[in-house]
Amino acid sequence: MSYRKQVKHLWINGIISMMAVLFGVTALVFCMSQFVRGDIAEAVVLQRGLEPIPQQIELVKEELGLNDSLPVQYVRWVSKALQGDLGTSYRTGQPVWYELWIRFDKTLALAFSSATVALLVTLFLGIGSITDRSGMIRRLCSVLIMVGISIPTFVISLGFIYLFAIRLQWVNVIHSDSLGQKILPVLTLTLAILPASLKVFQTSLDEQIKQLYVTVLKSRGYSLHHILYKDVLKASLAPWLTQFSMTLGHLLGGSVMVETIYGIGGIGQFMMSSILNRDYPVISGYVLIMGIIFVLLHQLVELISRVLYPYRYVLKRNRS
Amino acid sequence: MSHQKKIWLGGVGFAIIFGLCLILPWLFNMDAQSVHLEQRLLPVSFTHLFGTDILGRSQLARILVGGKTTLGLAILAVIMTGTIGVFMGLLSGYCEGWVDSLIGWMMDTLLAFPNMILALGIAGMLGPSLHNILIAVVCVSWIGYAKLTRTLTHSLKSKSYIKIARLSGANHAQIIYRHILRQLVPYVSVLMAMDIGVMILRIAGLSFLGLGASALQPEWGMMVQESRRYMASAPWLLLVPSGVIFLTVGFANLFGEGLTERFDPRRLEL
Repeated sequence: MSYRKQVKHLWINGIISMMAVLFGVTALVFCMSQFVRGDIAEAVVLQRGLEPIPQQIELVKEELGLNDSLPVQYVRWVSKALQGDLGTSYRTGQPVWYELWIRFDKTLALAFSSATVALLVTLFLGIGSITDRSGMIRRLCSVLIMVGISIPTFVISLGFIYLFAIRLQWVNVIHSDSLGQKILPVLTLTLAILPASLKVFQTSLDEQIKQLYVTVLKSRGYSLHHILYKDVLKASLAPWLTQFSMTLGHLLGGSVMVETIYGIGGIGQFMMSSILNRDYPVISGYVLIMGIIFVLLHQLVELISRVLYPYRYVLKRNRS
Repeated sequence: MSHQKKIWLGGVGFAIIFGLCLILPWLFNMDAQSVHLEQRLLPVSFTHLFGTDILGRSQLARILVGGKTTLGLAILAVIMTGTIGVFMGLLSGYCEGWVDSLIGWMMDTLLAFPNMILALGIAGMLGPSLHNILIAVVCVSWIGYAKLTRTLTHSLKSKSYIKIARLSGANHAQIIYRHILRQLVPYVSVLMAMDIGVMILRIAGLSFLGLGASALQPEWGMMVQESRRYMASAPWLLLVPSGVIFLTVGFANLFGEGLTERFDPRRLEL
């Protein structure tokens, strides 16, 4: 197969598998909401201020179409979701879509700033561990990775609050619009995602620096820094970029914890309070939206990676 | 640190903590629930080794009994994910065809969600309880094993000795058990060892968020959650469970890392 044909093939395959995964995501969330069918009918009855007697519940079940066959219900649910109707929150009576939308910016800001800080620190420490001759940075990295993967996010958060807000009193975590209220969550989330990203970056840097082309370039008189910034860095960012979509998942998952503890008021915190209040439409809506965002992000990262490193993909196919 | 040291230090440390949690409460008839209101929020001392909480319950007893819950659940979760994952991986790797595509699609779908979010969703839908935490965690974690097993089974299946075994009249069960499953043991056990720490963190995390919801059964994540309110006046309530979680997960990770270095998957040829 020619190179162009292979690339085209990859594109088509990618789109088909993405469609299949999106179908799977909706099917899974639909299955999850099947766990609580009876509760949904009961909740709707209570919401209307009626007596939750079996006859009433049966009536509402019939009305909501909960007695139809599963495929029919699934198609109805998906077509509603495609039109942006994810149901109404039991607690607030507002559409789930709206409830999540008004809180989304806070979560996004938190995730974005943590990802940026983590990216900068990863680059700095990763490059530092190659160029630093004394090996101090490398040792620091391995301690950071070891400690980082062993300490739960909630312990970091509470430790920060205890240390900086209660002991040292540098920041005020109760006052909601102070800067300190924002620094600590970002720092916590950064620390939560740093170990994984640093580990991948470091491993791939180490692998690249051992390659033959580095030796060749060195023997031709290029300095280590020159080789590092010009060639090694680009090549070793490839595995890291693929890993980055996983890191984004960590961010979204970790943000539930961090938001709940610091009281950010984003969608993570809203999700948590919905779980504790059995607000099922919000739970399934949140999981669905997160799943779809994550699939799209994953595809985007894959796309960037394909544009930047076409040889990784095509060569892989040739080998198999 | 050499991998030998890591394996020993991590393994022995983890075993000691788990052992203490299992043996001590039984040996000294410790009661994690006995309330002594006159001994509320006592700091760390010789009589109360880890202090007492707001109801005057001994923090030491709660840590030990809670450790039984947390670590027991984590180990159970690792065993369950390992079994399910290997089974699915073998199925899809050995059968190929539509079975393979179906399981592959299932795995891609589950991987499409961030781990923690899916676990949260499942646990949230099922309602708060430790059982449901276990189910949620197992649901999202088996894929790693399945992927590994599938790849290994694929490459093992094309080996000539398997073809020869088939020609000599061995049936599928024999081949799977003798020639494939046994080869998988080192890889899967390394992955399981690496996963213990992750499982402890996930279970404690979900329980911290209030999804364990059982006031009668102490659990480490929940203990950290309970200590939040008394953080300023009784910091030991926060420090002790946090420290214990960190130490245990640290040992487990050290053990897993040592094993990974010992049986470096890239060094073992297939």
